[in-house]
Amino acid sequence: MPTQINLKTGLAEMLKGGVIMDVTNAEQAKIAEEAGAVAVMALERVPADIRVQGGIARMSDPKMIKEIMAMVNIPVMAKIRIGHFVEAQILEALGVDYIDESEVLTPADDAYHVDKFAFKVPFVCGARNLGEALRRIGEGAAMIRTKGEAGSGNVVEAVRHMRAMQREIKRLTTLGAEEMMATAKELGAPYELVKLVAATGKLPVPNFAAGGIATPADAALLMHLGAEAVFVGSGIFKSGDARKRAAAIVQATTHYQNAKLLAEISEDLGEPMVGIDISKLPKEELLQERGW
Amino acid sequence: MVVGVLALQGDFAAHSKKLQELEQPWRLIKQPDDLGAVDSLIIPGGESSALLKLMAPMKMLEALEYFGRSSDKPIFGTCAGMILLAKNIIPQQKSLGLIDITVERNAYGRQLDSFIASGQIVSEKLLNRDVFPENTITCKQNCYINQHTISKNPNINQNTREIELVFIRAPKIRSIDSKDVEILVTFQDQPMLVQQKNILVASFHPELTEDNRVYEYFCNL
Repeated sequence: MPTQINLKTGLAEMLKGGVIMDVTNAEQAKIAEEAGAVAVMALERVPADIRVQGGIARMSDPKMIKEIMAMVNIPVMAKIRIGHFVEAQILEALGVDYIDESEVLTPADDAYHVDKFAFKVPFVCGARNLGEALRRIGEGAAMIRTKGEAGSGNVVEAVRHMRAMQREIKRLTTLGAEEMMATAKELGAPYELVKLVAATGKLPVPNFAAGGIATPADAALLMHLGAEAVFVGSGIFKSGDARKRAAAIVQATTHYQNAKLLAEISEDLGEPMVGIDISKLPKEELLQERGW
Repeated sequence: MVVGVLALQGDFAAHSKKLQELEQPWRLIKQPDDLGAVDSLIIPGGESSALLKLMAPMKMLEALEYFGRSSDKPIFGTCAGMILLAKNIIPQQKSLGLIDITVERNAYGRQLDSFIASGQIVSEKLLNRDVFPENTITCKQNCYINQHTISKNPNINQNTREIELVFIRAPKIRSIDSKDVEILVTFQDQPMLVQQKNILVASFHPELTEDNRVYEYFCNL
C-alpha cells in the first residue's frame, strides 16, 4: 500500500479496542478523555439534537474545534458534510487528526463524495453494507464505520449494517475467480478491492461501529459482531450520568467477552438516553439514507 | 516460549499478525491472570491515557510491574507502550517506571505530522544475527524462528544499518536517565529504540513495516 494510506490506517490501528466519543465543547472533551476515550469527535450538536432541532447541520465552528484540540492529548476528529471538500480543507488546515465525512450532517453534494486521496489527513466514512464500504475505500477512506441510525439511541441499525457487512465479506471468500467481476458490478464496488476482500476475508481498512450505541451492552454487542472499536454519539452526553456511562462503555468495549464484568459495570448507570423506534420514523428522516 | 500481547486497547492486532507471520507462539492478554501463561510481553501503541484507565480496575499496572521487575521477563513497548514503561512522562502521568528514560507524549505533533523515515541501527545486536550461532540455536528451540524466517523477506537487506521507521503521533525520548540504557536505533542522532536489561522500547511502530529485525531481536531476549 502507498505510504500515505499506511500512515492513515496506522492511526486507526491505534484506536482499536477503544471508544470515540462525540463532544460539543472542551469541557465534555476533558470528561471523555478522563473516562478513557481514545479520541473525541468535535461537533456543534450531537445527532439527537440535530434530529429534534432540524435545519441544516454543517461543519463546526473552528474556534470550538481548536478549544477541544487544546484541551486534550488524544486525537480529535471532526465532521464535514458529504461531498464538501472545502470544509475538509478547512479541517485539514486546523490540523484535526481525522475527518468524518458524515451522513449526520446535511449533504452538500447529492452526487459525489470527497476525493479523500487528495488529503493528507485521514478520513472515516459511514457504510451500510460492503458495497458502500468499498466505494468509500476506493475514494480513499482509511477507516469505515457502520452508519447505524445516529441520534436514535437504538442499536438495531448498527447491528443490521455490521451483520450485512460481515455476511457479504464471508460470501466473497467463497466465490471463484470467474465470479469476481459480476460481483463487483452487483456490489457497485471497485473490482480490485472486491478481489482483495475475497482473498483476505476482511476489509483492507479498520472497521468500526457507530450509530445508536447507548449502553455498555450495545458496545459489547457490536464488538462481538466484528467491530474493531466503537463510536458513541448522543449516547453519553444525552444520558443522566455522562462520566459514569462513558467509563463503563470504555470498559465494555475492551472486555466485551466478559459477561460477569459487563454485569458489574452496567449497574446503576443512571438514565440512558431516550431512544426512538426506527420503524416509526419516516424514510426521509433516516440519516443513513444520505450518501450512496 | 510464548509472547503475550497486551490487548486492552491499541494496535494489538498488528502485533499479533506480525508474531503469526514469524511463526512465534503468542496470546492476547486481557487481565492479570493471563500473564501467567506467557514468557514475555508486548505493550502495543494506542492511547496511553485510555490504557491507564483500562488497567486501573483490575490492577493491571501492578501485575505488569511484577512481570517486568520481579520476574525479570522481557517487555517490549511501542509508542504508547514506551510511554507506559518509561520512568518520567511529559506531561506528567502514571507509568510503570521500568526504564530510566524521560518521554514526551505526542512530541512530534498531531496526525498531520506523522511520518515515515529511515533510521540508523547503531548496535551490532540488531545486525546479521546469523553470525551468532548460539542465538540461532536458542531461537530454533524456543521460538520457532529460524533462518528461513530471516531470509523470507527479500525486500529487507538484513545487514543494512538502515531501518524504516513509522511514526504516528509519536512520543519522543527527551532524555536517557541511566547509563544502563543502551541505544539501538537512532533517527537524526536521537534515540528511537532503547533497552535497559529486559525492557525494550520504541517510539516508532515496527509492527507496521516489513522489517522483522526488531521482533527477532526481542524474541531472543
